[in-house]
Amino acid sequence: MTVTLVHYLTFSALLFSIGLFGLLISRNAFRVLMSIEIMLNAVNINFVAFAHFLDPLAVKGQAFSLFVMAIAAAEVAIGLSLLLLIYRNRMNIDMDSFATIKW
Amino acid sequence: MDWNLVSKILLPEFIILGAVLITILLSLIDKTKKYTGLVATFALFLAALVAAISTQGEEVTKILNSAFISDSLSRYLRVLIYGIAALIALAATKYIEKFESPAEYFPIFLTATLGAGFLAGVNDFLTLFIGLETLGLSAILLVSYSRKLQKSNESAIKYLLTAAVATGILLFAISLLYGITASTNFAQVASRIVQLESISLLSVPLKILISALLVGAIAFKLAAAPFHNWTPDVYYGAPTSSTLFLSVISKIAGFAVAIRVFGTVFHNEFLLPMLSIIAVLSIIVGNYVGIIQIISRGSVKKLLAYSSIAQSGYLLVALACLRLESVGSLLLYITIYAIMNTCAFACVIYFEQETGSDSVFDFAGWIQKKPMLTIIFSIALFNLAGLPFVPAGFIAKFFLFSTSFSSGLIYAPYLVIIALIGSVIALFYYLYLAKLMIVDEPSFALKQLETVEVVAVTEGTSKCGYSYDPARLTAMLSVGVLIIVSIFGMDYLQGVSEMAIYKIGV
Amino acid sequence: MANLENAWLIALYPLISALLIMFFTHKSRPLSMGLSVSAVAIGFIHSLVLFLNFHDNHAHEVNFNWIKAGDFHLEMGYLVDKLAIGMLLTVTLVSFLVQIYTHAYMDEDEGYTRFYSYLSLFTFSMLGLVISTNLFQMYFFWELVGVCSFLLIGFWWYKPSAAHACKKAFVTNRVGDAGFLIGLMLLYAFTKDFWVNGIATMSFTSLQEAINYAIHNNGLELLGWVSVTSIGLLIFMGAMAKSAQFPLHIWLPDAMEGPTPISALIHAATMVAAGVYLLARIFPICSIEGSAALPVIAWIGGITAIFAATIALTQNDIKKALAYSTCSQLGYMVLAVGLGAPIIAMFHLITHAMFKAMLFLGSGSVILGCHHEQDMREMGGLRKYMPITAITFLIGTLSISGLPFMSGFWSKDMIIAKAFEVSPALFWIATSTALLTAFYMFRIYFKTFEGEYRGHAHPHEQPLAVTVPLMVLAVPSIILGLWGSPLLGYPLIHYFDSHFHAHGTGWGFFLHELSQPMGYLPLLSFIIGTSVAYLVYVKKKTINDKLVNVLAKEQFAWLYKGSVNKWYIDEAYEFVIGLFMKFFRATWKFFERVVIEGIFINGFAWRGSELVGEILKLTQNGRVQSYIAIMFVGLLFFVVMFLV
Repeated sequence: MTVTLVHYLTFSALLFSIGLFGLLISRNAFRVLMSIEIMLNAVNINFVAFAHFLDPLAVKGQAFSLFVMAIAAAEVAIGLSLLLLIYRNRMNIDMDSFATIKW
Repeated sequence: MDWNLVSKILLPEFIILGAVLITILLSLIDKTKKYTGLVATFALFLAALVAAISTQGEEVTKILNSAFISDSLSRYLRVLIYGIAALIALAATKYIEKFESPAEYFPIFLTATLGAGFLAGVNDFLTLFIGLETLGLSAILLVSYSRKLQKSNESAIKYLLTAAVATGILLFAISLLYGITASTNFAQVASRIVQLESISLLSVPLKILISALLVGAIAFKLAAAPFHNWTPDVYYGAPTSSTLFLSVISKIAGFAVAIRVFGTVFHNEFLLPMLSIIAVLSIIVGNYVGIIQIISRGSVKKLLAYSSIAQSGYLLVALACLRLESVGSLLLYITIYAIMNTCAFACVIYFEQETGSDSVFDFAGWIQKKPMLTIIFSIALFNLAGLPFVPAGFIAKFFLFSTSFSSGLIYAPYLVIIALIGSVIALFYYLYLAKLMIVDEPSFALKQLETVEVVAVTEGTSKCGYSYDPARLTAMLSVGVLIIVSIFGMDYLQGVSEMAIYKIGV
Repeated sequence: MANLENAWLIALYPLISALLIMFFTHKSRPLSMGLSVSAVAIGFIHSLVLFLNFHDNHAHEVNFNWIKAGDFHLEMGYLVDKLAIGMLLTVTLVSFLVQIYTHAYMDEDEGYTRFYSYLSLFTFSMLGLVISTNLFQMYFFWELVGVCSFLLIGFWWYKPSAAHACKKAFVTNRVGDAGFLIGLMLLYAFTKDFWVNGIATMSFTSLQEAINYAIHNNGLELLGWVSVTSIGLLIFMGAMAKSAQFPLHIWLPDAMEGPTPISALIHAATMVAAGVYLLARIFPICSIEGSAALPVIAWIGGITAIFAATIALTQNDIKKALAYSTCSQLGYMVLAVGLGAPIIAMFHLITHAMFKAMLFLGSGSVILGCHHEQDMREMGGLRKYMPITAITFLIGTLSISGLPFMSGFWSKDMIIAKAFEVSPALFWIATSTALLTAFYMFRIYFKTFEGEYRGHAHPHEQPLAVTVPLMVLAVPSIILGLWGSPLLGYPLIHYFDSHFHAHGTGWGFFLHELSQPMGYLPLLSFIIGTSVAYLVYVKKKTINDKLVNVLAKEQFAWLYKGSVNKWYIDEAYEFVIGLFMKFFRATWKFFERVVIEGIFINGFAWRGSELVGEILKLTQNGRVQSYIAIMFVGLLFFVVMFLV
């Protein structure tokens, strides 16, 4: 069986959904950040797959995914430092505890 | 690549970039912590000036491998963004002093502004993504700036997570667009989509999916319902100067992207209904909860957050009509909105500096303590409400609705009627706040203030090291601009904003 | 520099100085003072040059586009004609002198520089009002002037009385301005299709044609609810509030809570006269053949004149008494407009500006000299301590009371003569007001400066910054009137109106009509009023061992009480407003309870639409994950909706 574009796309869509699922149900803030990484990686697979199949000469997709990775790293860096800050302030990074501001 | 051209067109951005470095260095040296903010203000002002002067001319120029475009729209919006950012930086100068390491606020502020300014002229989905993230990540840092305050932490993590999801959504849409067209450049994407459409190779579900994802991702930036839920929480928890940044600069940048992407790149029959739906939802939610906020005497910051959601709704009405005239009046309105909101928030910042509170309740009877600022704040509120007191806000709203009304979209009249009803409802909370400040007796917090001040004076301590309070100066400057624009500038501004749309390049 | 093209600079100088003071020099007293004073001084010189070089009989006007929306367009610009130049000179001169005076008066006040910035801002607004080309622009500056007045009355906002006074002024003026605005809208509605082909909307120069156009082409009636008359009267309402005409005069006496320089500049010489200036500008609307506006205006002016004069008789606060006298004199001016002679009203406006500014500045000097005492019962004999103030005050008193050959005499004489020509009733009102004026002005003078000192302070003469403006103003108070008098052949009147021909009694009793017994009446009223005041307050004549004024108080107790209490106008307002407020509160409560709480908050419960509120509350639950879920639900909704 040859692996076609559709396979990649299906895989990435599933990965995106897994990320979303994890994002929505995780109670630990670390897992939420990881889920976001999964979503972004799903997008990366999309880009690379498209680049491979449709745009093999210009490889814009690959380049784009590099940028996505770099920025995802920055995002996680900020996210982790924020979590550290929060942990210091309230000894707890449970998602349920981030609900004091509402309405 | 013609570096001369690049450096000519991107000179304002280079100035800001230079200012980022200078402010980082200055934040290490400057012990009084007050010159950093002033340097940032000056640099932004200079950038706005340079953007206004150096990029005159009619031609459309693409640079950086056509990733950045210099056309009338980007020129207009860059001047606007840098000018307003200068005002905001000024307002933050003293306010931010109460947090730890205050001077480092401004390098981050400048990078955020840089991202927003760059978004005004993006011409490639890659630069769009990078610009959005430069803006977004810096904005998260701005929101989280008061490190020891738990509400600031909480709002920062909320903003981070929702922004990350919005980024994911946007990237998914971009990847699909890339898959269809094998390019990320706006012009190429646009022309290939037209090609594919003409031979009906583009499937309807795909079009719908991409439209929905794009609308969702951009609506997040615009704080439009149902992508708005982060707004009140983040606006409330963030330091007020960051709230101001989010509600003005971030929103202008969002509309810049929206106008460019929806106007020139990706345009189909599903887009406009989606935009209309979020416009209507934003108007309803913003105004409904705004009233509840004022009745339950919540926070003024939250009130202004809901008001900004509703204002996004009005702007989206014009965007949903997507005609040259209506988008031109959108630019006019967002200009006035930016000035008004800056003015209103500057007053809130000043109030917070004085009393440390931002609850609606404490604003009662402010006129007896600070008559000038109360009047300025009221003028800003009247303008947001669209009352013809100082007529800029009224005229801008009038143009916004009248051009939308006559745009030819079948359901445009209904949208405008909903927006009108919304603005009438909004009158209630704007006027209620003004009445509270002007008519009512001073609140406890304000009464207490007097004794504190007396103590401070008798102890011989000066309250601030500034000859003029920066937040107050910002409020006065922006209301001054508003008045001058109302008197002399509406005609000119309308002409400029119209030109900005007519000369838009692809 | 001073040619016609940059006449708008005259208004701009004070704006620049106001902004500079507000933002930059507010730390430095001398710099702020210097900026403010020099800006208005340059303005005065500029207007003077303009005056010397301007000989056209038509207006010179320049317009810029301001707002354009379809067919609707508004312009801003500047208009220079002789009327405007007269006002420019008056305003800049008085403002200049008042600003010098302020230096001494506000010396000990913390808000010294703030005060100068407000003064500059006010001067800008007033000059902007004067050079407005059209009614909309004038309305704009009209409001700006009102805001400045509000700020300045409440300058000492920590005094409850000042806070109350500025609120009162604001509200009263809103009433008048509402009328003004409605009148403006009505006028625009009927002349909408006239303002095309480059005619600036509502421009003063085309007002006459526009109104004729409205009558002939758009069927505007002459009399009725919506008619030329009602438009004129609605716009007049604005003038009524600003120029303190009965029954909207109540704010002016209370406005004396502001610092005295303000009372002199704004509430005596310039701003309150803006109403008269407006009337002179819209005269073409009011004077249309068949309109009933002019008689109403005349009667309101006449009633105000005599009404305010009767109150001024019994006031003990020196500034309040002068305020009522201002009211009364403004009544004369409005009366003159109503009689169909706006030029005479302008003449009286200019002379009045000079001597009334001087009187107020003099009263300020007295107040300073007596250590902030304003009650005349605590004064007396001040002539010995402050001779310059006393002499200038006497000159002002003589001028306003109508001593022949003084400024006030000529202008007032013309108004009375005009009244004689038009309506006997108004003539008698004007004449008796003149008598009352002579009496109460000399009462003030005698009580303050003659007799023995009754207070406990140590009165002293004021520094040069106070006395020089007084002495400068004394000159025009004496001789300015001659310039418009029949003695020299009415040069000032000719300046304003080149078509003017002296005829009949309409242009002054004096000299012309001395042959008639009526011609002596103004002179007679001056003599009677003055001598009665002299007998009562200096000679202290007694009847049955009782002082005349005490006796009068007892004999006519109800009259006296009425006058002291300002004929209970404030109380009447309070009663009516109280009723209204009760009604308003009840409505508001109803609104809040039924509409807001009922429908928006609780009402949804039984209508099933509380769902909206509940859903919103549910969605805004503070959990970021539910926010994200909502975002995806929104996306899903879009996709599903358009797929299906």
